[in-house]
Amino acid sequence: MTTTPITRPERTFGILHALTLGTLLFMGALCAIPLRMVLPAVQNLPLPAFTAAALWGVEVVLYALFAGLWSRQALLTVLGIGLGVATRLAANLLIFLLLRVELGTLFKTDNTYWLFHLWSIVLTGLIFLLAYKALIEDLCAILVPTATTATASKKFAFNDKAAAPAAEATAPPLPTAKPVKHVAPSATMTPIFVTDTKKSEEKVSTLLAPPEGFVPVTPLAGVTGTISLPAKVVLDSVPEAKNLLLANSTVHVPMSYLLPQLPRGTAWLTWQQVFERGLGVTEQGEARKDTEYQGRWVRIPPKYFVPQLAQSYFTAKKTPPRWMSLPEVPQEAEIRFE
Amino acid sequence: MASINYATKEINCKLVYYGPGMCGKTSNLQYIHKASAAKCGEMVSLATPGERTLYFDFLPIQMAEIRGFSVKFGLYTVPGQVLYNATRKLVLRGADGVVFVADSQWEIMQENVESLQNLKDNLTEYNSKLEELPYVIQYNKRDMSEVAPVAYMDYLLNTGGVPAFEAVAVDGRGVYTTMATLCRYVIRDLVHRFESGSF
Repeated sequence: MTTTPITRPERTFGILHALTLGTLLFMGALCAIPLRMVLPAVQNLPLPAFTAAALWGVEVVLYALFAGLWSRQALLTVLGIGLGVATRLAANLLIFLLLRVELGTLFKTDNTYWLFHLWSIVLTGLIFLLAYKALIEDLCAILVPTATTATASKKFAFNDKAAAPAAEATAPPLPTAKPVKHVAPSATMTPIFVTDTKKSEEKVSTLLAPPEGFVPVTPLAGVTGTISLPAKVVLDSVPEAKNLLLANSTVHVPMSYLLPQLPRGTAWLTWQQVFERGLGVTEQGEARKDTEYQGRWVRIPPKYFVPQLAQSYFTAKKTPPRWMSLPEVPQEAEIRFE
Repeated sequence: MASINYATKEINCKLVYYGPGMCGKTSNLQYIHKASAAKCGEMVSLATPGERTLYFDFLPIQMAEIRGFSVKFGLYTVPGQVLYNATRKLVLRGADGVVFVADSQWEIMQENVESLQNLKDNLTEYNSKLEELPYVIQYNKRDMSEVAPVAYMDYLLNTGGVPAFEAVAVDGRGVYTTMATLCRYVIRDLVHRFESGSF
């Protein structure tokens, strides 16, 4: 992308901006008056000559740093010092004029108004920071042509229409990628979803899978019985298997897989576990093939298997908690509603 | 943790209704609020248009006078939906007793189990255990067509053999019994802790 140089109006805007904000100088000076009024003792505080000189030195370095940081040009750095000191003197002059202090003290370093000077430094620094940034940049653009590009590059500009075709013509050709032939996926493209219809407001389709943190069970040793379930239960989880199962047929699920899952409220078995004993044979006497469903989960709600189990499976020794054996409080009988 | 105000002679206890989504926790509070308006304060409820509790419900109720102290219970419900666990945990904080409301429908058994486990997990984060806290279980929605037998629900949810009640919260069946039983156990626990100096 090419950049356009700063236009003339932008330069004048910077200068005008500086002049406008220069009124802040006057306002600042006005603000300085109350300080002197409130603190009359300030004028009696002694300030050694070398301290005043050091403060002036620090101030000058700060101006140079401001200007240097913005312009990154040696010339502008020096210019910044000049502008800073000039502004500082102007601020002092205004302040002293307003305070009716004789001008002779302005350039003396052994005066007693050090706090006043400190205030003036802060004020001038702020004004310098606000007002002269644009001015310095503009002067930089006028005086140092190379600096113009550096400043302008920070600004956004559209490409010149006339220059654009030339820029395109000179641009290096873009690397071209080899065409890739996409192979059709071998797996089925039909996603398996189960829609929860029992909660009307939550009709969100989710991929059927056991809940988070599910730990597959190991079959109970020594349990050989089966539980009869309608094939519909399996088809609810694996609907594509309708070519293998009739909805009104019965599936016999090994109890050894169901019993360990009783405390879960719902049993989750894999297709292999459900059809551990195979799917039987076709009319032609061949074994039914179900390899594509091997990794699928089958959700078995408790209503299909719990009623078939003896109640003895649901009796477990219970240990009542400590608070249940606490003695009654006499007045607790008052706790009633009716 | 119950608070005792000696100046006003008041004991304030916090009871939390816990359970899976749409199991009837708010229905319990609504029935109490409707049927015992004289004893109840204003019920605060923040729910979605689908009647799901968004934050919690709160119902203050004055129940009894124990040893010269007026006992007040603040009934809270938690949002049952899985994703509101942070809110559940917050509401559960400082609970003096819990009513675990289970949905009796076969289809919700897994959610019941998960919710009870969630209750235990959340209490563990407060360095507490469900067994240490007075709690009762309510088997709600017994009027529905396909409900699990109480024996099976006891097996799933009531491993501690705590008081469990069948209920139809929308009609008020079992609502008072559940709450009154819990309140009594909470009072007993409170008095015991107070007398043993562990309060």
